[in-house]
Amino acid sequence: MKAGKRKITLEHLSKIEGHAKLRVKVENGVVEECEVQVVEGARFFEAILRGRKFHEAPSLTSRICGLCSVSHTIAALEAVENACNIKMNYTTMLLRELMHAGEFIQDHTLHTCFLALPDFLGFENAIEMAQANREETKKALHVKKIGNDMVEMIGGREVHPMTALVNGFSKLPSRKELQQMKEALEGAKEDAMAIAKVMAQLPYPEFERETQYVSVVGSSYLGDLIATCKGNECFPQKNFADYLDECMNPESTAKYVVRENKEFMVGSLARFNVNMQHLSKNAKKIVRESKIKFPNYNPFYNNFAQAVETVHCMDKARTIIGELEGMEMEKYEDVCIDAEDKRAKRGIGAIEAPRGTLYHDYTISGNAIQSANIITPTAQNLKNIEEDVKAFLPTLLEKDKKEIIRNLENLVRAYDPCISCSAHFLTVEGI
Amino acid sequence: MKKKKLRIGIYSLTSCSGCQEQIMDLEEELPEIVKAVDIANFEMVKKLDEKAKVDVAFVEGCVAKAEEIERVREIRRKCGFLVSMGTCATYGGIPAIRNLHEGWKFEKLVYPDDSMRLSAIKASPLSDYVKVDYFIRGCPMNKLEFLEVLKSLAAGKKPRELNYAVCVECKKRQVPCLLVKFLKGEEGGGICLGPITYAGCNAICPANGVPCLGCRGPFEDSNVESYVQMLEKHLKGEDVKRMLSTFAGTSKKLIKFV
Repeated sequence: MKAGKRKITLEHLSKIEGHAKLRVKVENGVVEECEVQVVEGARFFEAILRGRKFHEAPSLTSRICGLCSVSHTIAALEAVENACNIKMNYTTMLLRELMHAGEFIQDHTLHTCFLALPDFLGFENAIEMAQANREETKKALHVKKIGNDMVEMIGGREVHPMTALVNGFSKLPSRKELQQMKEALEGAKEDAMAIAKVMAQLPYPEFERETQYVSVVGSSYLGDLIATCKGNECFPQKNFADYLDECMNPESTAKYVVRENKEFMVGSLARFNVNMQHLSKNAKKIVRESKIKFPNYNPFYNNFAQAVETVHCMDKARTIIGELEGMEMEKYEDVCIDAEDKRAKRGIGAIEAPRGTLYHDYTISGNAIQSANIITPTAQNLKNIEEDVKAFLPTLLEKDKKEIIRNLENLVRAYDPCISCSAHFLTVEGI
Repeated sequence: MKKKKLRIGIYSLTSCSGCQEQIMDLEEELPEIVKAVDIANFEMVKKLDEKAKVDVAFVEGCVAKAEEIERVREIRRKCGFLVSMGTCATYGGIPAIRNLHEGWKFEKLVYPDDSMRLSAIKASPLSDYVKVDYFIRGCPMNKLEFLEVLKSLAAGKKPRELNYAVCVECKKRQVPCLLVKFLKGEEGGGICLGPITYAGCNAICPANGVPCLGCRGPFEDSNVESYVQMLEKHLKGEDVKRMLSTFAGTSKKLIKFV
């Protein structure tokens, strides 16, 4: 590309979830401006939640995103339960973990194998790739299906699960279903590991930029403690607002989020950088054999981290099923919240969604939601993506425009951005 | 003579992408679908070709910003048969709840920054702007229903319409009626919108122990009025309104009750 002023606008970032564009302005080899714009229509979910009954929050907010509806459901449930001081039983906890692992398996496989991979293998898209590699595609689809089957087994449906209620599940999986799921997981283990090995060896660009990394820490992705960078600073989920700041971008329907005025990264790579010791044995083995070093500051390796997490979640699911098989599952008990208790009760649910930490923050009065704030992973990643583009683009300027765009798209795509999620926000006066 | 493959496009407006995701969730069938039809556009999976003409356009999401009006018209111009995919496309869905709030003037939305260019308009179904040839309802749409519709269209037939209630499917599956349980005060019952809601989901929610939320909208011959009268005996008026407004509150059959 020639020196002087150049503008690059990608009107449609493709092979991501939702509608976003990237605008970059380069002047004499320096990136003057860079912006990821979310052009998806706003849906005002926080405003829609106001006045709704507490038990409606999970089914309403699951509709924020068809890809991570399980995560939104669980975060909403946690927020309501924390606000109303409801302690769920152990069965519920295990089933949520299991359903959540299913979502990771299906969602990560969708992204790694069908959205990210084709480009690295020289295909225009997954449809072309599938036609040239039928057997491999079938295997990858099978791994994805296991994740979906798991969500369906617990949640009743792959997208927008309906059985997950405040304080429990309307339906419990049968012993036979659990047994079959365990066998299916066992059967697909090798394929998931093979996918991770492929994702380890892709020709990722040599690009590093250290940033802040944030993730829930501990053995559960649904845990209470959030840590930054190398785990040297921890905060409980209820204090998240002291650590993160939400900002607006006039051109975009998404908020963006910073920590101490600086961008940070969430998602699989951030989880690896913050919380790697909790990976399963098989997952650790893949990382060890790949010789890829962690903490890792190359955002392209988020693809690899997702594939390893898929293996981790399959291992975790087998362990949870083993535990469920050895116990008597507790049934659902309906909860009543005093409609007359008008004190404002605030509850925060923070969990790891496939793309990073997801916060649901509700204030409940009586049995209705008074106000809600939802911070999605992609909103948190937006600023970090922009800073990465600014650092990455100068290394590409010798290439032709088509190559530059391809590389930039790959970088943005490595974050697996979920635009529907990030375009849900906006506060409105008078509602 | 070799038959020409059906050429389809899958498009997305303001939505959660869950209906596109349901297509990707057809893991066992996808390899066959890719062989059987020509997928000219599939927004989540491949680069958008705006010029492509297709036999059938499947569109998810509602029209919720000014630019999308022209977009849906352009999709209509480029296709022979248009299918609205899911409840947002068919009714406006959850985003359309905003249309029901009085005094909520979109041009006067208040933001911290005045330069905010949102171009949000009321959330509308596709049929407010273009002719829609077939509606797949549901939030999310049922992936098997999508498959049926695709098969029918590939065979040159118009897909069938199911103009009856979710209750019919509940009975077929022998699911104990949640509404009857509720009225009798038995455990596990609940206010269920099945009696007024389009079938086609195979009563998936009641079969999983939760009442129907009405995500497929009110079917053509449903008697919403008498159903609302029944609800009002048991619930506060505002709660009835809230229930009816969730997925298809702005539809012709429900708007007078919300």
